Amino acid sequence: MRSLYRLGLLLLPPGFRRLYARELLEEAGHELSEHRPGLRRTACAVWLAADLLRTIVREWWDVIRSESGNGLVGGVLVDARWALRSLRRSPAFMFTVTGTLALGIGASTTALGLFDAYLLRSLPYPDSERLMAMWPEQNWSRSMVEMARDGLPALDDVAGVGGATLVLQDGGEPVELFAAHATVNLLDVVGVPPRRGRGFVVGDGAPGAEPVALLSHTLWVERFGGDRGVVGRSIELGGDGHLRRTVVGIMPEDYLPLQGRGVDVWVPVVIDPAAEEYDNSYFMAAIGRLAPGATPARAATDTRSWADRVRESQPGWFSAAEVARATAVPLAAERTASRRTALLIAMSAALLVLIVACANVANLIVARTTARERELSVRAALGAGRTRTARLVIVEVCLLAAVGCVLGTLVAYGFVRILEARMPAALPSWGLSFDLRWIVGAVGLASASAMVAGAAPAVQAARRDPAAAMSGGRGASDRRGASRLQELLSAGQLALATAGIAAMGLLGRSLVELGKVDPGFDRTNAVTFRVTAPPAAYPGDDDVVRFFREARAALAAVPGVEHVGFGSRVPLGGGDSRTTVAPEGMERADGEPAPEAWHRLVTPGYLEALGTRILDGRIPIASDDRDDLPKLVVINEAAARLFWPDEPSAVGKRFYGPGRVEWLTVAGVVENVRERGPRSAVLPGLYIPHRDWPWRSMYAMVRTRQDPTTLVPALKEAIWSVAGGVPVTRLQTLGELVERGLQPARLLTVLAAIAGSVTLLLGALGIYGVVSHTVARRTRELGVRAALGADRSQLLRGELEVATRIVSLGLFAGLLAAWMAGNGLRSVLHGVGALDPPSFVGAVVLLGTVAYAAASIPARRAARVDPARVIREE
Amino acid sequence: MSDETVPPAEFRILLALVDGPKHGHAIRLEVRDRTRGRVDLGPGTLYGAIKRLARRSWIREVAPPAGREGDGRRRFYELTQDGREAASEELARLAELMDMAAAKSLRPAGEA
Repeated sequence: MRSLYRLGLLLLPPGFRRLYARELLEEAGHELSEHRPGLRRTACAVWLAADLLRTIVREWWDVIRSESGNGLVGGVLVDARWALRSLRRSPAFMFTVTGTLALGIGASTTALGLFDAYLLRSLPYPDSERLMAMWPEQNWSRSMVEMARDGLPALDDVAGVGGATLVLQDGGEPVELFAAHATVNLLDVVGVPPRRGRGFVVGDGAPGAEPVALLSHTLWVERFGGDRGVVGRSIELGGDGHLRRTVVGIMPEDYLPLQGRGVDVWVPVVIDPAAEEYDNSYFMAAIGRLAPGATPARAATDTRSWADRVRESQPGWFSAAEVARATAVPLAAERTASRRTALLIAMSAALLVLIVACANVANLIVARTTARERELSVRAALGAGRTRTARLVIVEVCLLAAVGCVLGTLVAYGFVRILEARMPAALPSWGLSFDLRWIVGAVGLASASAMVAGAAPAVQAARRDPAAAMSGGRGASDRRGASRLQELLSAGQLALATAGIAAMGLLGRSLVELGKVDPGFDRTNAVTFRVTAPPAAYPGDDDVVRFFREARAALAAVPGVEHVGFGSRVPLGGGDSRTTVAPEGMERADGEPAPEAWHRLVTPGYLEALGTRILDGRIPIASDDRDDLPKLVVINEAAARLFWPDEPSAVGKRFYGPGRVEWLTVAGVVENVRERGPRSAVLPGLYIPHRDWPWRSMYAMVRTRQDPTTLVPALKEAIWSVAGGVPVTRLQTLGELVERGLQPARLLTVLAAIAGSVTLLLGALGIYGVVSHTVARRTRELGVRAALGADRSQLLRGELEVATRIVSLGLFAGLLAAWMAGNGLRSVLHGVGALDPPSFVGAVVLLGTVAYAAASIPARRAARVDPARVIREE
Repeated sequence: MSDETVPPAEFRILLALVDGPKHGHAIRLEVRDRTRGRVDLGPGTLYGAIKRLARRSWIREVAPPAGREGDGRRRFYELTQDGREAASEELARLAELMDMAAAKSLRPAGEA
């Protein structure tokens, strides 16, 4: 109990503590020792605590009072006391200001925190700033990686990694795993060794080597119970030509795979220069580690010239345009490139809110300072200097900003929790931690806000001329300056609000336009899911083809199913497979590379189930699927235009296809499908029969006559009737896929809507404040005029003059701001110009109406002023 | 005579010191005994009051009187001339109040 008292003594002012702490402690000890432990002693302790608390308050108060007026610290303390007292007297003012600031600071802190997480923190690899994303726009082949390893002096080493799907059947239900298909040097380049066992060695990537695998920590714990004995064991992990693999190591728990979280297993890429796929299978992303002394810029130029050399030796591989984009960028920058625009927009929106909030606060303070004119004048007359008055304003702003900062931090924390719960995709894959940096950010923003919000009122307060103020209690010139300032601030707010609302209009209209884009398929009543042919029961290519044929038949038998087929990918599902093709009869210049097209492997029924319209020819049916007939293929409109621009019909034409397929004959042409979302470019595409290239993991596409979700259990049962327990994953309706494609645009629109409405609200509050303030100051004049016979509408018009001035200035500046905002948003808009008239006109009309409505409330009140009362008050 | 009153705790300390220097603990005991335990100054209250009295120079710290050095590190305080005057003035103020009350036949509680 004594030690607790001793701790309590630390709260006393240092001066007092130095003088009396020892005696206080002695006295308290005496007191306590007089009582035996028990109720009386507890009562005594409570009494001592109360006495100490009272003393702490009393002594600090003494310190503040005695320091008053002495030096800067003392002066500030007096001001703080005075400001606190006066703020307590006007709670509405305090709540408005701190609430406004908290919102602005909270939003900006969140944006700043995300900005920091995405762009400033390094990736969790050793010397991660020396890791480079190599030619990120290009999918790499094995041969490219091998050539780059030797041909790029600026880089120590280059590794490639792609994705693959494997099936794990070891002990229990088969599960589909996401595998990183990596060159054996990947972990050396990244610089993270496995936690247990060994990484890949060169021999693992040799042709005919024993197949091996590295497990993720999660998989190891969840599937193998963290058993150390699994290292060295052969497990049933197949789906890529193997049935079993030997586990050689376990990755660390905190390792962030290059493809993001969710990688379960790493398997080595086999390098066999004699194999066909050595050159023509482009499936990897490449990363390199800078050689000692090399700079990222040098790596970029080296990569560019290397790509030129590759093109010289292998002219068919890339086009000149592709080579021109060859570069190397720091891995961290490449990771965040896709988010940069969204981040900048979020950041601008948050800052917009904060700036408007600051303007609002400044305005409120100017209004308050002017309203307290007599009080301030008396202070000035009693000797308070100009700086003193200004300091008073600054101290008050700082107090408000401090409260805003605390609340704003809470708001930011709330935003992060909401994002975590509702929009995990908006957060970085390597996690977001709300830590000291966020607090520092909030404090920084609060200080900046205090400066921004306090500067104008402080200057205005310092300009106050005490003599003029005292003569009759109203310094006319001062007041004119103050109201000018208020009007400017209010107009500025309206301008920013106009920009916010216009941005909201632009993004909203763009979202509507995006929703209208024909995706090239029918999004209603269709469901898709992914199935992998179990490698144990269906080991070979023919077995895989058989599996999907049986699965298709089983699904088609489910009542309510209209069309069903399998495809290697689904629209908007991500992923890409591009290859070059050689169309028969297509003329191209020497050295010009073959045209490129994406391809989907499809079974019969897929295109019908997708609901893609056929434009020419026909879609092959199941009976075409025979070895003695020509291999039939469907291409999209873009491919038909590119390959045979002068032919009326592409049907019956042939081309030499990608990968394992050879001559393909066009059976039909279908409309273009927006594979990568409504904003993506339409590229030439091929629908190649799955039988010719039997992938093991395929997406079922099922078109139903009713709501497809009601059929899901029956569809799963149908799959399991073919192969019991096979995992059915990534189940989604096409409608959901389309929705997900719109999500980034929706998120931006919501963001702009929030920023727009908050700025609008603040803008309305601002002009309301200014007008009510002018009105309040002129109540007497209005009363006299009313008494002299001025009618109400005349008075109202007079009062609205101020509003008109503010609104016209605000809207004019607002149009400029909106134009700038529109330009900033240009890259994310679709089907809407940056100068979209409806959005701009809408913003102006809305702002004007709201601003006038807000201004007319106090103006009307003024016009109803009772002349008798005013004159009595005189 | 100033209108200022001496706060009760401080007045009690002044009274306790009228008959000679005492240390803080002794002051507290005296106050407690004289009021039969009714008024007990907490340590913070006691030393806070001592600090303010010392600052107004109504009391001052003195060396322990002869024979009391054994009290060790305890600091002794004695009444200054100013302190004695302030106590008298406060007493006069209270007496005036007593007279006023007596004139109206108001008697202190507990007196017959």
